[in-house]
Amino acid sequence: MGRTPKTDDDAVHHRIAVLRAERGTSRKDLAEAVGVHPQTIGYLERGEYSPSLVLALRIARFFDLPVEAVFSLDPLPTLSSEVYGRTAR
Amino acid sequence: MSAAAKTRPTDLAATFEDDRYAWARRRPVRRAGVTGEAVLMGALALAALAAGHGVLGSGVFAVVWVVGLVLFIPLHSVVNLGVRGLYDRREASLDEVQRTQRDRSAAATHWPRLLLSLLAVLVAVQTATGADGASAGAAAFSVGFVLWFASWLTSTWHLAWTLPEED
Repeated sequence: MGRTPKTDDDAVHHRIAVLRAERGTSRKDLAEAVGVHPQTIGYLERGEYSPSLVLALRIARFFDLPVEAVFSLDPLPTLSSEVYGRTAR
Repeated sequence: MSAAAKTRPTDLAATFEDDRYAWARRRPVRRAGVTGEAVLMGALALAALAAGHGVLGSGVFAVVWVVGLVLFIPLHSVVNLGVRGLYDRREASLDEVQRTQRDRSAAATHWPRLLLSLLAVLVAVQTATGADGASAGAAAFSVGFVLWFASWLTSTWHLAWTLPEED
């Protein structure tokens, strides 16, 4: 079972919204594919809920990516900085 | 096959997920529903106490209670729709966030529920042993019933009050 993060240090960082936008996937489609309510995807994207391991693995499998590419305990770098080495000004 | 597709939603679950009732899931509506129910429970208890002290006649008391309980039905329907019926649906139809929300409210209201239930028992015992006259007995029983009923509602009230706004 996941949990509601109580502090910023407690939060699980993720790229769900970015990946959804990139793949053109709606919240409803993702929710149906991983077996949760569409509102749950919203809670995850807003950082109001940290997913269980099973849910994190299901989401990573949906995007066909390793789980560490989607979720991290540390803030994830932006794609522009990771791919092109650019940082935000 | 996806995890969601494994279980077909029941009619009850489908009703709670129906977008026609999205208005009931808005936080102000949920909180108004909870406030309405709490006020109604308080009014029913006050009416019972007033009847017990002879301020309210037994006929008026009966009418107040029938009207109050009839009013409770649509009011609780709104509150229950607002929380997507999390306490009325079977476990399998809930996802991990919904189960977490439900368990959190049940845990948060454990002591108030216990206290209300104990008070209800105390009132019932007092009614059985020391009520003076039939109307006083009926009034004390009614107060006990309201306390027990409120203890049953407390978790739903907490859930409806604290659920974050949906988008």
